[in-house]
Amino acid sequence: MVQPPRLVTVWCPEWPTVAAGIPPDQPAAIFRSNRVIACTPGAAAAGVQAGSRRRAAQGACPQLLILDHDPDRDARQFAPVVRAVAEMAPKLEVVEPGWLCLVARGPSRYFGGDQTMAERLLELVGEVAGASAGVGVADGRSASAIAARRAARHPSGVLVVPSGRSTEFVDPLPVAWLRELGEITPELVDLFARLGLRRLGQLSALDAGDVLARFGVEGLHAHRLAGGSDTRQPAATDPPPEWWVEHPFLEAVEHLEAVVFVAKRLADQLVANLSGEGRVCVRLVVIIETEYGERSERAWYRDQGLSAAAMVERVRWQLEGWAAQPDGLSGGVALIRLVPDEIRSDDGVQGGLWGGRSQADHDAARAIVRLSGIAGEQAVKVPVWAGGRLPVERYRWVPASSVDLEHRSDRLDHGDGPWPGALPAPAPTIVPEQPVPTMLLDEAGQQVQVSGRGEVSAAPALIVIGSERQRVDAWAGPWPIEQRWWSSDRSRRLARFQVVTEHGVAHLVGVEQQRWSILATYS
Amino acid sequence: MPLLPNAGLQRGRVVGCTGPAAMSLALTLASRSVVVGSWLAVVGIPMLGAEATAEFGIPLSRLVVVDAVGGPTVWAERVAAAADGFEIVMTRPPAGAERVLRKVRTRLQARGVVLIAVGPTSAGVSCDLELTTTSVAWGGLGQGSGHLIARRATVSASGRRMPRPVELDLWLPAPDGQVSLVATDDRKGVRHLSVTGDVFSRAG
Repeated sequence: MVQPPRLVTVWCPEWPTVAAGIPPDQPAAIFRSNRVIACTPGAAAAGVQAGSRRRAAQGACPQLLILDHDPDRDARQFAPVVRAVAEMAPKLEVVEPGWLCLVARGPSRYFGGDQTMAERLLELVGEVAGASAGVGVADGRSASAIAARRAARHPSGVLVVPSGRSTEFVDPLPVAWLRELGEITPELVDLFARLGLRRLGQLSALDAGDVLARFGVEGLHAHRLAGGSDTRQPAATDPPPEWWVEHPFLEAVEHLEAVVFVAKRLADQLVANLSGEGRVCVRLVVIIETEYGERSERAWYRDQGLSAAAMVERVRWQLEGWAAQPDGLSGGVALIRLVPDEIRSDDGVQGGLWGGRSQADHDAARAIVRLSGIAGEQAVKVPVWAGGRLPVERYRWVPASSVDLEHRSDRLDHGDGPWPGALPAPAPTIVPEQPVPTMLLDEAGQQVQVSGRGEVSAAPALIVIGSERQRVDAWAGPWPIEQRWWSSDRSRRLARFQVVTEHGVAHLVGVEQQRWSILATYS
Repeated sequence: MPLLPNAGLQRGRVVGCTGPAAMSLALTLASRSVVVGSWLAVVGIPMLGAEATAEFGIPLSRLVVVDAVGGPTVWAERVAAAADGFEIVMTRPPAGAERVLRKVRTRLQARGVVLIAVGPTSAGVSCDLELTTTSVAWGGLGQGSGHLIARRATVSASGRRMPRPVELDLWLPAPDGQVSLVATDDRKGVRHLSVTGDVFSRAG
């Protein structure tokens, strides 16, 4: 069996009440879904228990102060504690606000033993948090968590289980501890107790295979916790606030592209900072605020780490998504902030920005950067599938600098599904952004009219291209489109035709409100 | 395609595509290299249809479009910059491009880049190889019925290294969407291409 790592757990009991700033002797309780999730010692002394209903709690203690649960507040108030502990031992994991876990080996050697280190930690947490805490040192995650909780009830506040003795420490404890650790449902713990498995030692003495067969995956997890063989390493997270980058705009910016370019600079800066420390961001929180105080906050995750280009791409997605919402963005953007929420050491999987690619990809990436420099970022574009029935709608062109060219995550084609109302292949090779005005004339030189019911007044015979009249050899249509009829400013009603001129050039023309224009050309 | 004298694009050369089907021909030429990993820069053709580009077999993940508004000097600068990193550069040379071509050409030759110049009537610059599309005929469209399905074009190749011009009939594209040579027995067939009822089921 793998020896579980020796871990230190710092546990601040009833953290939500501490975060809410309530003195311990005042009776108060934090509620979630009408149940007590935390209460002050004052309330506990009056008989309020975790898990009891609001009525029952008020019945036990009429002067009880009732507060709503606010996980953000808990996390915010816990941040100074995390930072202070990180000064002592940088490799730590925040299990939840009020509960920290760190590897004992390094700090313990530095401070001269588990006991001394635990006392230093307790003192530090007490100073910063202004609340009592428990520090437990044991082998494995569950044993050290239990030790910290036992320690919190003890006047000394520290409990060190000697190395290799954790099984003896855990075995005689009741199975109800599993519920306290928060990973096993109360129902399963009750079931264990009713089946006669009253002590953790009894549970861990069972065969793992039998436990899995009878109680499923959760049962197996409980078995591991009880046996202290929970060998997961704590993730090494750092307190993130020092890393974030932001840019307040002096004047609110209306153009989303301008915001994306600022985001590019921020992302470059952030990635440079992180990679300087040999780290990579796997979870990025992008916060955007408008001049009217609207706020969009989203977290983006990618397990192999986010490169600068990937960050910029996510900012663009968030902005576009926000702008597309009916009650989204109403004013210019006033602030953008990138917060690396989760960072880990760069294990080299990602390679460089363009790593692990062919020479051609490498050269192209460099040329794109150079072209963006000399021509402006707006002038160097790549296509992104958007979808639509008109050729101009089907692809959007976005600046190449705002796309992660290494991992194209934007869609590039329409897949296999049909797009009703779109014209079949072949697609036109020339698609002007703005339709080019033209005229479609019949034999008599009169403009061809299309009625509201899709009837064509006469067969088209001539088309005006520039200043020249060209004969129409073949034509088909009209194919009507009626789009967004529910919207007064974005609705469109047009009829499309394909025509082939005497020179063998085919055009897609459209008529909208009696005005003809060339939508695309098959050259 | 046996159209090009040495069966394929030659590095460092300038190829011109003109005529009513110039863009399609240029994309066809580029597609064979881009499929196997080259990158394509399209300089100064802001109206490129991305969907058509994909239909001619070009992976859009290796396509970049660069605007070049502002005369031959700007054009030359951007083509030269593109030539530093892209193996194929497709462009529509502006008026007066010939004057600034010398600088571009040395860069193309040094980097082994193919420049495809596209223009409706002329390529705008002097080319090593000029491909002209003539007698373009569309199939599938009638008088008020059908829709565009296929196109046949005669492509004639001429250039400094070709003593005699070569002429070929190409489907650009054929009814199945592929670019192919027109078989001799259906040389005249395109005008009679039938429009069947299930044609619109290919919509996508």
